[in-house]
Amino acid sequence: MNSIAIVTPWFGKELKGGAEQQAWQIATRLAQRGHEIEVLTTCCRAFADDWAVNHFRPGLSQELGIKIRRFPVNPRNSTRFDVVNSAMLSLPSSQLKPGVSPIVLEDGDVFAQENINSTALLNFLNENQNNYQGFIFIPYLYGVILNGLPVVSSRAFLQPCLHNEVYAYLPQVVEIFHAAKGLLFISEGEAELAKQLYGPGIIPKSIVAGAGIELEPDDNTPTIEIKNFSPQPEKYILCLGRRDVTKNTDLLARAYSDFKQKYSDSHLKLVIVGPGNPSFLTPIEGLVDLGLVTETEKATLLSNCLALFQPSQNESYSRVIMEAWFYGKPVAAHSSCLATAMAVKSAKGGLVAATEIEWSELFAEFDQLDQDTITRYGMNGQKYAQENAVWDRVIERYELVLGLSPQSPPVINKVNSGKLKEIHQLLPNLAYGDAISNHALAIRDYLRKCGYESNIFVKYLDDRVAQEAKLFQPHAISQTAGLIYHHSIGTELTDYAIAHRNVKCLIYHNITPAEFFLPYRPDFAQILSKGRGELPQLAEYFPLSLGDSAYNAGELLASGFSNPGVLPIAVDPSKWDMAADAELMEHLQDGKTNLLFVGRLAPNKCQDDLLRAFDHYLTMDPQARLILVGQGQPNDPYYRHLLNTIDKLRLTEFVMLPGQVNDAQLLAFYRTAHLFWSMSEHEGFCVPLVEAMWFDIPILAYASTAVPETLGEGGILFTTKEDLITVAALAKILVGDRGLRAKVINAQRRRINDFSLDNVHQKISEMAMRMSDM
Amino acid sequence: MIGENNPEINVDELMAKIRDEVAKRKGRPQGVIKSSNADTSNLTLHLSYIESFLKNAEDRAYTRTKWPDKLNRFPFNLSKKLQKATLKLLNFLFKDQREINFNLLQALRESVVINQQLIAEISSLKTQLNENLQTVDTQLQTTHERLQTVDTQLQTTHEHLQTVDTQLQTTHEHLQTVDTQLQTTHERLQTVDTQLQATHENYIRNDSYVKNDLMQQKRLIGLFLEEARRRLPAPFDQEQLQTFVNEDEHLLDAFYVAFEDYFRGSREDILNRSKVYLPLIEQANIGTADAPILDVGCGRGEWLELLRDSGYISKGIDINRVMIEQCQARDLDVMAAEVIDYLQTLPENSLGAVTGFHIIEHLPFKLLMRLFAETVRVLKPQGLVIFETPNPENVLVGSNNFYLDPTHHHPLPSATIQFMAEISGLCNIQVMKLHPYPENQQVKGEDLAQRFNDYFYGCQDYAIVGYKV
Repeated sequence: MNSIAIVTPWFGKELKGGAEQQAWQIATRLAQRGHEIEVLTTCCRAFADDWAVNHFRPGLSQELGIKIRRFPVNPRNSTRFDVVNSAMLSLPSSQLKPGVSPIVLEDGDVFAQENINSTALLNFLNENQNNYQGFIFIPYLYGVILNGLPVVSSRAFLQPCLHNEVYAYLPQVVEIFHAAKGLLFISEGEAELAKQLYGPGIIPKSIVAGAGIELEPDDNTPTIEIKNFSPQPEKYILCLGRRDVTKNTDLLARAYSDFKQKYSDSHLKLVIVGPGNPSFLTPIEGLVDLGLVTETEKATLLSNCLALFQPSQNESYSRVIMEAWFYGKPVAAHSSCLATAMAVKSAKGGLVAATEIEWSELFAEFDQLDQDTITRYGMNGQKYAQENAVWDRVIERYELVLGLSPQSPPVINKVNSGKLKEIHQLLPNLAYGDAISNHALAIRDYLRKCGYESNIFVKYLDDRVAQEAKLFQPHAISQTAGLIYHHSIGTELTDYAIAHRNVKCLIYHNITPAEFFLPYRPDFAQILSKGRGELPQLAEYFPLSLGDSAYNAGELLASGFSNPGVLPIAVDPSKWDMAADAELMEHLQDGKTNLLFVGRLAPNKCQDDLLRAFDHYLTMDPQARLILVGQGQPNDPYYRHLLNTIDKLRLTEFVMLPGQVNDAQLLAFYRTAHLFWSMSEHEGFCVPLVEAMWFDIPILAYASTAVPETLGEGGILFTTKEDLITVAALAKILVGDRGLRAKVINAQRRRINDFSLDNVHQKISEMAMRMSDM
Repeated sequence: MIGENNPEINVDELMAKIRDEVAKRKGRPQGVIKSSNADTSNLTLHLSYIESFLKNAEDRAYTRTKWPDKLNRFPFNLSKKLQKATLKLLNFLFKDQREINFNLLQALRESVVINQQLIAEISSLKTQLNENLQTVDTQLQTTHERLQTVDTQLQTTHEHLQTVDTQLQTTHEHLQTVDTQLQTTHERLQTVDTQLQATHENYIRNDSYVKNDLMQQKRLIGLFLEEARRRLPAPFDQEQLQTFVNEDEHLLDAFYVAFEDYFRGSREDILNRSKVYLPLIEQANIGTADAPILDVGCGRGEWLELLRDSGYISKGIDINRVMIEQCQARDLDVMAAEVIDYLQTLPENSLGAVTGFHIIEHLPFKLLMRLFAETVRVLKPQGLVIFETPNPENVLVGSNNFYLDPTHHHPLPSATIQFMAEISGLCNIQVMKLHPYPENQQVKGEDLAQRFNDYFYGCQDYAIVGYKV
């Protein structure tokens, strides 16, 4: 039961390739630390072999304390596979869109089924899954993984070794990313790429475990001459790795040539080392092509270089970068490669470049850098490598994730120790996808975790969430239980809540001021008005009260509640750990700008203002669409007003009104949006703002009520609607200005942590304790 | 207008970008102008409220055939039959109400349709009006721009004219300067002219003097040479020498002519002055062939010319040969002769008149006496004598002017000459006081001034006129 299985198509110490090496290292090192490790693999020997040929004998063997269980591979139609595979590889990168299958679904099936597969292995997984504590699937794109992971998804960890390549867009791949219990990444860049491809839903289950390298730099590396090149007196940039066009070695050579033309008197040389057939390398003065070298020679070259340049765009993890850092050398990476560029930026261990000119300028920059800066980059890199690329640290993270770590029992919540055994919630209705409903569910779940008996009682119940709550009946709630009453608009439930004898807490989600609805629905305005009117009367009955936001708490205080607290609404991205609606994903990635607002079609949300502002926006960016996600009733005068406005402004073909949407559709809208644009004039909290922040959508919002509080430093606020042209121009800039977007998104990423489950759980705990203490 | 919630974002920079973006936007063609609809959107909005209410009412106004779900629980969850019966009863009871409801709904719908049409019309009228106004606006703008252009051109023209004006003024000033200079030049030229004239007159005078003098010298030399040739080889005798010596008195003839021209006055003046005597000639009935007029010392022959032109026969004598030649050049009957010598050659009672202007003061007393005596002898009875001479009663004449002529002997007071004439046998003697100074030279005033004027500015000449008995 305690053993961990590593599932991988090939296994062996001698296998080259990042994923194969990673599998070997994890297996052997976990085993060395005393864990029971089994490798489940095929009888096929290696990637380069025929995937339908069983090289090894099937069955169990043992090596270095690891059990290796091999299964025979399936016969396969390699011709069909090759046709599909080459078709996929010939697709231009511009045709690759997240959430959209790059090929027809049938071809995707061919890719998965005619890949390397083993029915025996799948059967074994199916039959013996309970004997393993967890499974690690390495890497992401082979049949064994694509078909095997879903079998044991609840215990499956995927170590994808992901690249931004066509395979990553296959629906089968999307599926395993969402199905897996956890995701293990080698680098931050790889994790970021996964987030871009599969959405923020995977974030909570992702961890950057890193990968170690086995390098013990020796300061006494002897200075030797390598193929007539003496590293010692020379000043040179080192490029290590396969000398190949796909690794951008040619780009670097051209950039160096350009540099030499501009700075002919520079003595800086470029030393290229590695396998491959570099026909593009023409003799240039200063360029030294050493081809393959020994490990000692490589060490000598590393310890004497000025810096290491890694121009490849296609890396999930660059060992050579870590190696250079271990030697205290600065590194330059390609800024389009997430894995390497993020490592360099995160470590502050060097610089990045993209175009040939930028690489050329980088040569000049390093040539002129002072020794202090070079040393500082090198030392920063060294620190980073020692944290991320040292096997002991990496394996510790694996142990933590896999639950093997002695110091990592699952976080134990403070068990309810007070007199209170039950805490129930009472609210008018529980609906699907509604913010208050989700909030109530989150509170219930956490209270249960904390050991309370906890249920939700409602007057009206949506069929889709019928299992989650009980219909309220008088006397349904024990008078000895604690009661949380969610107050929004006035209902007859209020009286029951008041009548409840034991400790009770009111959570205030705010009530929209009646004047917004007065011109449209006077009847509803009256209900709202009543709800607000009741609030001060409730103060005496609820000694405990909470607002979603400080803004709401302020209203409570103004209504006579004493010392109201703040319980923000948690937004857990896990709910988006699913595939987005594929059709919408394709439609919305058609090159147009997607401007999104999510919220009921209601007068206080001011979608009509948004339409008018959007009308101006179109004069600056005619290729744009406005998407107003949110429920609206055809009979509702405000809805009709919106339709009229669209008609009058001739916006019909530019505005999408999808109505209430399901999660997959909402996910598609969020994942493709370029801007979240709110004109709302009344929000008690505004959950969609936090959701948009999770999706890295820059937010433009009118600064009203609780909006500035929810955004914190995130988004951009405007304080007046007087000049809609200016607001539209601001939207245009926020869509197009990369620098501004980056600043806004960075601030938003910082802000979302305040609404994390952990943070909200903490507040729920405090609330429960206060209730218990009363 | 931008909130400063993110310290990393420079709001001013962002606002500048927004302004750029908005400015760029203005350069692009705008879509359909929608502003004209804005005013009716409120009406449309209200109509759509009404529509929603109507739709709602309509949905609920139909005959109810199904037991409401809300009532489908205790205590309302009746058996199906009972539900049906209740529904029927209800429907029956509210039949009229339903009819009313439908009629009202219908009426309201019609009203909404009419309203919609009206709104549409208002909208279209507004649009038309806006378009027309825009046209007018555009035209006004065009007109305004044209007027501005015209204005600008006028201004330009005005400035040109001013420039021209200024130039004209300058030119005018230049011309004035030139004018002044020309005037100055003119005045100078006049001065020069006057000087030239004076010089010219001087020249003519000198020229005539020199010519006359030269002729005289030639004559004398001719005379000497003739005599000398005739006498060769013998030396000059006494008579010949006397002839030469006699010629001596003619040496100054040319000088005297020049002197006369300078001091006596112009020929014309003299001729005019002489006209005073013509009535005397006429009264005396003389100047005929048998009573000719003899002018002694005829000089330049002004009086002879006047007489001839008046039809009188006259003859003149003078000792100055230059003058004689001048008179002869004017075809006057003259001859060079000594006055006494010539009178002695004339028979008694042969002349009608003897005249002499400014001759008697040149003669010594004895010769003067003989002149009177000879005159009386040669005159016919009733014959006329006129002698004019400077009047010494005028102090200036007597003390100074008389002596301007170095050949004058001494002033002859009129009383003396009158006496001499009477003694000589002339009768009916008159003294004509002549040629006073012009009045503008006289001192203004009464008695003393009169007397002063008489002495200093009175008659400068007088003539003694007498007749033979």
